[in-house]
Amino acid sequence: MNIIISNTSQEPIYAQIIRQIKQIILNGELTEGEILPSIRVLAKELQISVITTKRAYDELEKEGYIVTVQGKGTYVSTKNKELVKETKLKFIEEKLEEAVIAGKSIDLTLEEIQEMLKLFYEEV
Amino acid sequence: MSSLIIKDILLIKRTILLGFIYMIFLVFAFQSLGSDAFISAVVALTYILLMTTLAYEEMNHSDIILNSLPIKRSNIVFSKYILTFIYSIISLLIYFIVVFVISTLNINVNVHYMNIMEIVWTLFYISVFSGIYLPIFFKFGYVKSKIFNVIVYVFIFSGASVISNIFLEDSKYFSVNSILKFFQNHTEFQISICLIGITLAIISVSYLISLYFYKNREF
Amino acid sequence: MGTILEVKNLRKDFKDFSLKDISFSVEKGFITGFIGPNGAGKSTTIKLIMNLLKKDNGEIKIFGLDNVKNEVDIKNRIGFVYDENHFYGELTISEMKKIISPLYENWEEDIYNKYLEKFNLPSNKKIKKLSKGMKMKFSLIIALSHQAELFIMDEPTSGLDPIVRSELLDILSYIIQDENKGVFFSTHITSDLDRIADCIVLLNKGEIVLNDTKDDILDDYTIIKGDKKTLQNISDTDFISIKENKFGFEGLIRKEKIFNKFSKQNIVTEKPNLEDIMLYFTGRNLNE
Repeated sequence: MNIIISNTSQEPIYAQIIRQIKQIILNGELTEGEILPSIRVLAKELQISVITTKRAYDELEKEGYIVTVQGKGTYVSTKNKELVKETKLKFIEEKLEEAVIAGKSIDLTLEEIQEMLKLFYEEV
Repeated sequence: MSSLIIKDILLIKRTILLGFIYMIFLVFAFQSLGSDAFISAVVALTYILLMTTLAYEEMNHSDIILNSLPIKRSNIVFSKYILTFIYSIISLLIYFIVVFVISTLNINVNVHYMNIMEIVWTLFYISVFSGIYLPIFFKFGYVKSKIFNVIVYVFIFSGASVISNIFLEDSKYFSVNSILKFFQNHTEFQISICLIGITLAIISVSYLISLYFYKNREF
Repeated sequence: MGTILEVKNLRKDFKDFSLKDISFSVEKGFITGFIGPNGAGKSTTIKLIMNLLKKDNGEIKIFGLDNVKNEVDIKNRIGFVYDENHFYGELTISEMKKIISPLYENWEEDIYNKYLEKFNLPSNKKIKKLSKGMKMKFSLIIALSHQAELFIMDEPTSGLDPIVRSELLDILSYIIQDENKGVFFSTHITSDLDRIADCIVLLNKGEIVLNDTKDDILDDYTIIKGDKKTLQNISDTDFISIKENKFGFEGLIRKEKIFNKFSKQNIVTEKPNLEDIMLYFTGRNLNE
C-alpha cells in the first residue's frame, strides 16, 4: 500500500489519506477482506499523529470502505464490490459518452461506432 | 539508599587516595600541638571528604536528578549523615595507617596512636561540626553555606586548643568547673558513653532539622 | 483511553513571573507537545509536576495519584529526559546504571542491555566524555529499562544535530505504539513536534493560549500574505496577529473567517506549521 503525504498542501492530512486509500481500494490494489495497517503503525510509518490516522479510518469506515473488528484489526470492507462496480460503471459511462460525442462530431454512424467497439472487445 | 552512599564514595575515590597525603601533611604540621592535634587531623580530613562530595554534587546539579528518581527526600538526607560517619571511619583508618607507616619507618616525628577515648572525642567533634553544618547545607545548598565552611575551617585549625583555653577560664564559666569535676569523677568508659550519647542526640536533632529544611526546599 | 497526567488550576508565583491557574492533560497513547517561547513557564511546569517546586495552588495527578502524596510510587513509573542531563560526569555509564537501577522497582536488566547495544553506547566511558546526543539517549535508555509509562521530556533535543533528533523522534514513535504510555514533550523547537505530536498545549507568559489536537490547530488556521492595500480594507481584529513589512503583511487567521472577505483581494494563503502558530500567538503586532 503506497500512501504519500504532503505536509505543505492545503488539503488536511487526514483528507489526503482518505482520498488515497479510497483510490487504492477502488483500484483493486487492496482487495476485500484484506487487512490494513493499524492506525498506530500507519501513524508511525508516515510520521504523523495517530489522531490523524484514526480520523481518516473513522471516516472511511463511515463511508463503508473499511471495517474495524475489535481486537483483530481493520479490513477492507466486502461491500466494496458494489462500490467498485458502481465507480467503474460511472467511468465507463463517461468514456462511452465522450466517444459517442467525438464520433458524432465527425459524422460516424451508430454501426461504425459499434464496429469499433467490437474490434476493441475482441482484441483486448 | 546504599546506592546513594556508594555513589558518593565512588565520586571521590581520588580524594580518598589524596587523603593519605593530606594526613601525612597534617600529622607533620600538628606534631607540636600534642595529642589534640591528631583529633583535629582526623576531623579535618573528614571535613575535607565531606565538603568535596557536597561540592561535587552541587556542581552536577544532582539535586535535580536525585529528586526526579524514586527516592524519598528523607533518604537523601539520611544518606549524608551515614556518609559523614563513614568518612570519619575512613579518616581514622587513614590516620592509623599513616601513623603506623611513620613509626615503622622510624621517622623522627612525634606520632601518637589514638586511644578509644580520643576516638570518641573525634567522633564527638565531627558530630558537632556536621550537626551544625548539614542543616545549613540542606537549607541553603553548598554555595551559600560556604561562609559557614570558612568559620568551621578556622575553627578546626585553631582548634581544640582555643576551646581548651576558653574552658580554663573558670571564673566566668562556673559550669565549666562542674564539667571538669564530672570528668575527674568518672571513668573514661563512663565519659565515653556520655559523649556517645550526646553525639547521637546532636545528630538526631540535626537530622530532624535537616529533614525539615530539605523537605521544603525548591530547586 | 485514559488520562495519564492531569494538571488543574496550577498556580505558582515568583517575584517577577507567575504560572496562572493552568490546566491541561496528557492522555494515554498520545504524544502531547508543550510549546512556548523561552520564559513562558514550561520548565517551571515540569518542575512542579516532578515536585521539584512546590505549587501555590491547584492539583497535579499522575496515574490518578496526587503527585506529592504518592511521589515515590509515581516516580517509579516516570521516565524523564531533561535538557541538561545531570548525570555525574565522573562516573561511567555502567557505574551510573549500577547506582540508578536498584532505585527502580521495575528495572529490567535485559531491556537495558538490549538498548545499550542498539544505541551503541560505550558502557565504560565517563559520562562527561559523551556527546550531548549520547547523554540524551542514555536518559532514554534508563527510562525504557524501568518500563516507564509516562515520559516527561524537557527540551530533550536542544543542542542535538538533526540526525540524532530524528532518531529520538523515531524512538518516541516506537514508544507510543503502546497505547498505555504517554509522552509529554516540552520544547521551543517546534519542528520536532510538527509531525509526531498528537496534541499541543501552547504556553505563553504563564498562561495557556492553545490546547487542542495538533491537526485541528494546523487545519483551522491559515497564514494570509497580502499587500498593504488589502490590509487597509479588512479589520485586523480577525487576525491572531499581523506582521507588517515594507511591502505588505502576513497574518494568522482562522480559516472560516476568510470566506467572502478576501475573494477579490490579492492574497496568498499558506498552511502554518507549529512555529508559525507559536510566533503569531505569542506576538501581538509583531512589528510594534
